[in-house]
Amino acid sequence: MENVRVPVFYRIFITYILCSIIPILIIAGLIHGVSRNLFSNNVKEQTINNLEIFHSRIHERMNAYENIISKIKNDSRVSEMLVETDEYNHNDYINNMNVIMYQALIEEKIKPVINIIDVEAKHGYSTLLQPKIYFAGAKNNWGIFRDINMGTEQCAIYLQEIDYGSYGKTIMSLGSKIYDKNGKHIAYVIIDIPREVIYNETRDIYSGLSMQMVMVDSYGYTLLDTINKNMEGKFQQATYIDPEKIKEHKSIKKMIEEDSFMFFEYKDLRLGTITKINVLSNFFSTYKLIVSLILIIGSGFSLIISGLLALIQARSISEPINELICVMDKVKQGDLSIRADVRSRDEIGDLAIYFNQMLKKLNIYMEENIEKQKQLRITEIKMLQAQIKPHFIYNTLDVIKWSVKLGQQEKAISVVTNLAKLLRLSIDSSEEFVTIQNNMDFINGYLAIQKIKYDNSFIISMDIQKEIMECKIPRLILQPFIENSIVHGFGKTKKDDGKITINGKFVESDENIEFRIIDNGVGMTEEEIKALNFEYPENHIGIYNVNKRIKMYFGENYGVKINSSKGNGTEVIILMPCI
Amino acid sequence: MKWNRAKNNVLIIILFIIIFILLTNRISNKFFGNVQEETKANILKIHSPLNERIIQPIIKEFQESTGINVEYTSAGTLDLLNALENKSDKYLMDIMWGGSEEYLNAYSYLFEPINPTNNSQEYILGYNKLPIVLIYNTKLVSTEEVPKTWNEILEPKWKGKLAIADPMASGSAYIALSFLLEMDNVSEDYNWLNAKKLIKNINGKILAKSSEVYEGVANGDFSIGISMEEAAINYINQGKDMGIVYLKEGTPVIKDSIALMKDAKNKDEAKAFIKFVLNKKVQSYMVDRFYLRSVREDVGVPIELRSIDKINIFDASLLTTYENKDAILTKWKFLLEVWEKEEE
Repeated sequence: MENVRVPVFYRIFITYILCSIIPILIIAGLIHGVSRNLFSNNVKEQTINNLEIFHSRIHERMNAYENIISKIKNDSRVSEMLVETDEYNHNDYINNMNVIMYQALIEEKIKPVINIIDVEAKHGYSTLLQPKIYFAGAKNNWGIFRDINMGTEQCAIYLQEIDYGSYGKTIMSLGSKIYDKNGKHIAYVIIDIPREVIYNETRDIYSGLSMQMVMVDSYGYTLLDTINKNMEGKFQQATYIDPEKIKEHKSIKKMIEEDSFMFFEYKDLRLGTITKINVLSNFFSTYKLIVSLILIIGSGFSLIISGLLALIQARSISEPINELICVMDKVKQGDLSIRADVRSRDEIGDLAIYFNQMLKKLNIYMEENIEKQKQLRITEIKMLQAQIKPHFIYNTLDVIKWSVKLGQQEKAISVVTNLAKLLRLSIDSSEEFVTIQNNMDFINGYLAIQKIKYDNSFIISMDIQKEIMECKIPRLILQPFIENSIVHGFGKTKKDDGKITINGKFVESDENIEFRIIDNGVGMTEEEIKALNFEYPENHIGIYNVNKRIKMYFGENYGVKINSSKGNGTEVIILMPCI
Repeated sequence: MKWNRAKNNVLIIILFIIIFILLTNRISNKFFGNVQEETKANILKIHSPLNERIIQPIIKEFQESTGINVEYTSAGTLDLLNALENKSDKYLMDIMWGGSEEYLNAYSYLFEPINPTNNSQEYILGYNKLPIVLIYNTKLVSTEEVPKTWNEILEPKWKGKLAIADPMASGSAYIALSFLLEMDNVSEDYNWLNAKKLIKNINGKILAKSSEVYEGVANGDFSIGISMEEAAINYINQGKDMGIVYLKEGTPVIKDSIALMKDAKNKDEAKAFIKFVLNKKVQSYMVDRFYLRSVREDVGVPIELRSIDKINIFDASLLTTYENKDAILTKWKFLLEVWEKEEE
């Protein structure tokens, strides 16, 4: 992992994108959490409030029904009819009883069912068909009758479902005793409250939320279930083995396990009911949808924008760096003239500027170095030139000494004059290059001295093209060869027919000048020539000097060539450009 | 190294974010998740094959008059017997309420004597009596036409018109099959000829639940059916077109029973329940409301029902079929398959 190379571009790019997405995720999470909190607190408060209203309304209804019950039980006609159960008048009783019961219900929009049944469960009166459960119940002190008998004068509230067929179901009952004139308990009066009455009151609880309301008694007997109506009249805690029945049995517990956003219970002590509210999470799904839409669209947008920005930014950083790397690579290969083309005005731009400045400086240093080298070479040349002088002056002064000693005054004067001329020519001009004319003057002076020195034992034949006379050549180029011819060619042989021919002319279309110095002296062997050319000879320092100077000035194509063999004289060819 | 460290930092930041998001969600969930755990203590567990129509009011009354909480499991007799068979050491229930005495006898080792004080070894107490009768749709069959004997039911003219529940699932169907297998038996084995005739007449159509028999007869899917007296009377009282025939050769009676589990966790409550359902109040309420025949002698027969003396009661304890239940059901299954192949 450590070796993975992650380019700057990608790092910047990814960082940018992360930096744009992460805040959105955090904010969305926060919004989600906080607003869910606020939202659900709100929902909870409101729903509980509504539940309280719902229950107080039911209480109101209960009060109304209790009034109806007390109206009936306090109606003396009722107890009279119940006591005098004369078989013959029974039908009349039924009609009269019905009138009383219906009148009691006159103010009720949704009519509850009134049942009156005597303690022996023999005679019953009802605004509908009296359910069998009341006969069996009254007879066996069962259910509501047990509650009524146990209770005091107050109405007993009993939670039970009674199916009245086409009329519908009732889910709560209120019951009380009926006494005769003597205070003897003779019958029961029961009001069964339709499901519709209770259900209608639940509607206010629905504040646009989808929720399930289940009303159970304290033993889990279901009175009302706003979603699974078939659970009504059943026990929440019943279990089954038959898979079909398991599926059918939708207890609130199961429903909560399936889907619940919020759940709470409300206990009503008067009714003995527990109202369970399960707020389904689907209302929250719209909200979730909005949040996730914001999240998706928001992060999508910011992804695009930040992606573009990241691309531009990453490029603006990585491209100059790449450019610099490219330039550095070229510099490494030796191209010092190249410059980094970076125009960004930041640290990287500065880097490029400094890099360019560095290159510039480097260039200057290089040039200075070259210049120094050049200077060094010139100094060297000067040194080489200077080598001629002491050698010659020593010889000449020797000649003068001897001439003076021998009393040859004229000779001495001529030598001194010529020496003075030579010295003037060499001192006067500090120029490295001088005209051939100048050179020839120098040579003539020199030859004049040498002729005296060697007693005119050789003759000179000079043939220099007039055209080349104004060309400039380095100083003291020809003189060492002439000296060589005189000193080594025949100086030591005591030969008196020595001849030196000096030719000078243009070659190769007037650009180059060729000098030939030919003598008829002793000549040289090939080894001697080689020694002259490639080594640093002690005796022929002047010749080596010339060759080296020419090559230094004009390059390897120019220089000195020597043709010679033992006994056949020497020919020196000097080639150099005309300046 | 530097990159590595950066990577670690990024990971830490991402982790923080995830934790943060989780926390915000968790906290918000905590606010609302105020679901109250119901206390599980002292809840009497009852398993019962009885009709829920009967179970519910009795349990409701029991809870209200004693304050004991009850949880019941309602299922078919044989499903519950299977549960008993496979329960091993697992606690399932406190009381088995219902199922014929003959069935429960096989599991008496799981039960505890209900009244150990009076030295009785009674594990199983009768709870109510259910005669098995022929029911018929009065619109499809006239009183003259309707079979009066078991043999008449097996006559080919009732082919496809007879409804019976699956003896493998329904206790009432099994006792009816048992009766047929032992009726007119001359061999050492059972009278399988009757079973074959029965299969022919039901046309291979076995109903999964006993309730499908009386529903099917009531809505005219079937002309006649073998069912329990109680269910039929209930339908008649609802005004359905149904009639009852007590068959001549004999009327097998299921004695619905109640038993206390040896491993009951709520024995006091269980005993209270058993006492409750056997007391006169509940017994007479059952008679008055559900037309059930009480086991108590001091409780009369429902007015609409024929007195038990006038019915040729067949003593179910004479049946050997409960001991050989598995073998009989295997053969029954086999015969059904044979019939299906013959029909094809």
